[in-house]
Amino acid sequence: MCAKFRGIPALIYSGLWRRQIFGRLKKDFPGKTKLVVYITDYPPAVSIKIDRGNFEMEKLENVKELNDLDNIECDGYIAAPQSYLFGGPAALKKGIEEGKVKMNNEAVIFAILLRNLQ
Amino acid sequence: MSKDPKMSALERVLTVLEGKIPDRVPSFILGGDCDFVYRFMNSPYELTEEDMKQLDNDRVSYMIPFIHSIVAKFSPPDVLPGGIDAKIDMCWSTTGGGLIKMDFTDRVLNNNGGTFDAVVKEDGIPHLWYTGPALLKKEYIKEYWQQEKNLKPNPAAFRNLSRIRKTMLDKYDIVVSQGITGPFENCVFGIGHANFARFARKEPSFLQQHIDFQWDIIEEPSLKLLMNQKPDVVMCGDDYGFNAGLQMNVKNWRKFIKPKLAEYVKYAHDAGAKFVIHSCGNIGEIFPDFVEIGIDGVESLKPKNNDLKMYREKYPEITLIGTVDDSEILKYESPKFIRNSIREDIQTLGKRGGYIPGPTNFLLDQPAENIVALFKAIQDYGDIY
Repeated sequence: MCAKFRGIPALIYSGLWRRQIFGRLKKDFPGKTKLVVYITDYPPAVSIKIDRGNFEMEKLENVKELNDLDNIECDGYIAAPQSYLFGGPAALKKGIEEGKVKMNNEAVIFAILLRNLQ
Repeated sequence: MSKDPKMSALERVLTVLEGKIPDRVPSFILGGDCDFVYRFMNSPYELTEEDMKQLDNDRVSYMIPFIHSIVAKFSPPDVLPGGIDAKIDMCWSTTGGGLIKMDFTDRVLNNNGGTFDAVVKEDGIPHLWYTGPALLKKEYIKEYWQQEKNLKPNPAAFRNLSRIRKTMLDKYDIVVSQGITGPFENCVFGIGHANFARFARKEPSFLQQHIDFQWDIIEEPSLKLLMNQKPDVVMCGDDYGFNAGLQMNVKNWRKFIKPKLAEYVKYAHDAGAKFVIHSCGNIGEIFPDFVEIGIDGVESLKPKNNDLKMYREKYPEITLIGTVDDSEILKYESPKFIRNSIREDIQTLGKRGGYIPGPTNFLLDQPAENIVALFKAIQDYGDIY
């Protein structure tokens, strides 16, 4: 089967899709925003654009390492291995200390992305 | 418009599960995956903003695949003004455990040792499902046993189940049957069917040790948490069958699975609840065992795989739930055909009670009008007593 997304990007997509299909995306996130998610052990990175009740997700093949994220125009990003994302805030904190997790604009990342991991 | 009901949905369902005659035949739905949600929300029956305002106020769950918000849409208009008036009496929700990370794999695993994945197809519709066992070697199973503290069930998940159940019953007169994964699925989702067969033959004590471990650490604590919330109907999913029979030798089912399933039933009955098992496939071989351990209802029962008339005659103690073929009739036939078909089923299987019809599995790619036709027909033709 040809899949557009798998793994954590697909989980985030699923959460956003569920909000969109039930008309809740616009209510929950009325603004326009662009975020980047890079699962370091499950590339490529993806960008997520949310705009007035719709969202788009795209693969970013040019992100190869954590520092590449600083060159992308976006409102927030997160880079982490899969297990750190599933481990919750404590694992993310540990990952930041270990240099395995990198986040920018944590408030947006938590509000939009992490709560969509079903 | 629907007639004034003589019984609440809970009275109706419990009456049937007790082997008595209700005011009319009740109906049941397991839920629906994203494909069905997409079809429903792009049909004339979609949830409107007004519907969602009420559903939000009532804190009805939108979670897929249990789709309680869509189940509520089938309510009569005096319950939900935009309701379809094709009442569904009972639906489902379950909770699993948490996620675990183990050294031998990069994948994050379910607490039974299985893998799952989310996939978004080219059409943009997502899918989330179990994708295979991860505990494929004996040393992996032993490593899994070391995860004991990470496998324990989360009490908050069971409190949430209870809130969902009470909301649906109090506001929408819909019974939410609730449960956990059954002992066979917990075992084979982690170790795989081939290992189950191999260990049953060559190392039965090792297989028993694994099944006992999952019972002690996951299943019994989960059942205690579940029954603390006092559900009226417990329904657990544990697929034993495939199209032509059991997925395992019946001797192995009786040796390894039946004793644990009997414990599930006992937990439900001791707390005053009814117990229903969901199992796909042809499971006629173990119907006598279901009677012996006191199971109140069996759900799914695809008619091509199961001799439903024989079950009805031979096992009157067991309520037949589901039975409406989700992958053929509901997918390919017309609403008119579906109406006629369920009318016949109700006459054949429901005349003496013991019947709660509905789709045999989670809805996927069936047209929304077929599902509406099914539940309208159950409502229209269910008044046979």
